[in-house]
Amino acid sequence: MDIHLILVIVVVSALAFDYTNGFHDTANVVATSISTGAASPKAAIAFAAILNFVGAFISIEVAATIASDVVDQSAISGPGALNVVFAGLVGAITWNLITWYFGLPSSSSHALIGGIVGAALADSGTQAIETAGLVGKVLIPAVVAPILAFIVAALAIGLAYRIVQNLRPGPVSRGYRLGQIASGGLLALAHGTNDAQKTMGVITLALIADGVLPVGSDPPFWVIFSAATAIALGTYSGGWRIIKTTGMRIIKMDPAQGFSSQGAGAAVIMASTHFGFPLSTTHVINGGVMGSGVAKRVSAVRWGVAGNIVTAWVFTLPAAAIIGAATFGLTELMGGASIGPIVISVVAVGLIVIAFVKRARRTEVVDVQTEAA
Amino acid sequence: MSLVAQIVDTGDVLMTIGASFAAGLSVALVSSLGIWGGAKYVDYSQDGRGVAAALSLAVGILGLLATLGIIIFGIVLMVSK
Repeated sequence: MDIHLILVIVVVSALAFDYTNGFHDTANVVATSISTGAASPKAAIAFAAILNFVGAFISIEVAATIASDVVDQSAISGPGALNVVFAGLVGAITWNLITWYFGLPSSSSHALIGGIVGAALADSGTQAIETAGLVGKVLIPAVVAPILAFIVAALAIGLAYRIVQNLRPGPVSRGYRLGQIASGGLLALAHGTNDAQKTMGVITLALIADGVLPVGSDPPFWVIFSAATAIALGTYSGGWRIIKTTGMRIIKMDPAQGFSSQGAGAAVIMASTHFGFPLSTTHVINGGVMGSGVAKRVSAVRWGVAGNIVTAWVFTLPAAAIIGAATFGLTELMGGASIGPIVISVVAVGLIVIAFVKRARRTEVVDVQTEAA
Repeated sequence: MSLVAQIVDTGDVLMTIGASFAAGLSVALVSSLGIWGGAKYVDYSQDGRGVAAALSLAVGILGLLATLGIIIFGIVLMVSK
């Protein structure tokens, strides 16, 4: 009975994480379409939400990697196994909220993997970690993918400029804006495919740990459907506030750059998804944007932002792992049954509400000061 | 080197890199040709150059169809595994 209560808490936490993932990443997916005027914010977000939902059904390769290639399913099965998954999710959500509060760019995907790895290490030591899977399927692609998106976008925009350089700018801009409807849609589809699967993988891992599914199982349909719904709802509801901020900060791009960066990002994410690599879609999309910017003018890229992304990348995995491990330790201190996750969930919800209220007040003050200036 | 080769599935990583380059660059190429064809069709039509306009329109349509084809092929390829 206790175990099943924890399972419910874990599934709800995982779906909450998925919702915040969609909420957090909307701007990455639609900002270029909006900033170049290819689509209105309302249409772009609704389109992205629908394609995020559809994308979640396309593949389960990434879910399989999360469920079986990061931690050893058999090593973490047992009475405390669900607490490992729960603690990992708390590590990811906490790190996401900390970075969101301080405005640091971070990867939800790396936070999730870091949290799970940290909690599994605290539970069973290094034998619980699938080192080959973690390095080969997570860490190496995490480094390669943003660089790859950067290079592909830079070459793509170079090619595009070479072909259309002698044409009148009006028809060219109209053409690429039209193209951005396709490239933006493809990016949203790719984003839904890669990111929703991470939640599917975690829920599947929890179901295996609880004995509901046998070791090596694929995600059941209800897991795929609920993860797809959560990320789509997050994308739709979260977009408005974040778009407002991102729309003002984003580099001024022309439609050809927007098209190239979206196309490069979608190509890298889709190819990686095919091989089951769980990427940070945020880093890939930012890599594409920077690549299309640097091809026009090196100074067009905000290298300070690029530096922040690298810094956040370095810290995200270990920080989420430490929080995951500490959370697992707390659940064990409280007896290892469902009481730990219940207490931690209540405290976490309280802290989240306080953080949101404080952040909202701070934003209001900044808005008033900006208007006064 | 052998340890790295054991941990990292270099084949899959290289395939990902190759597929990303092929997809990203081919879409940029054919869609830009499509836009070039469309823009040139308008210019040539206004100048009264019928044959050139028709050829440009053909390039534009082929570029558009090739773009859609690559996108559909990419999605089918991803779903097929």
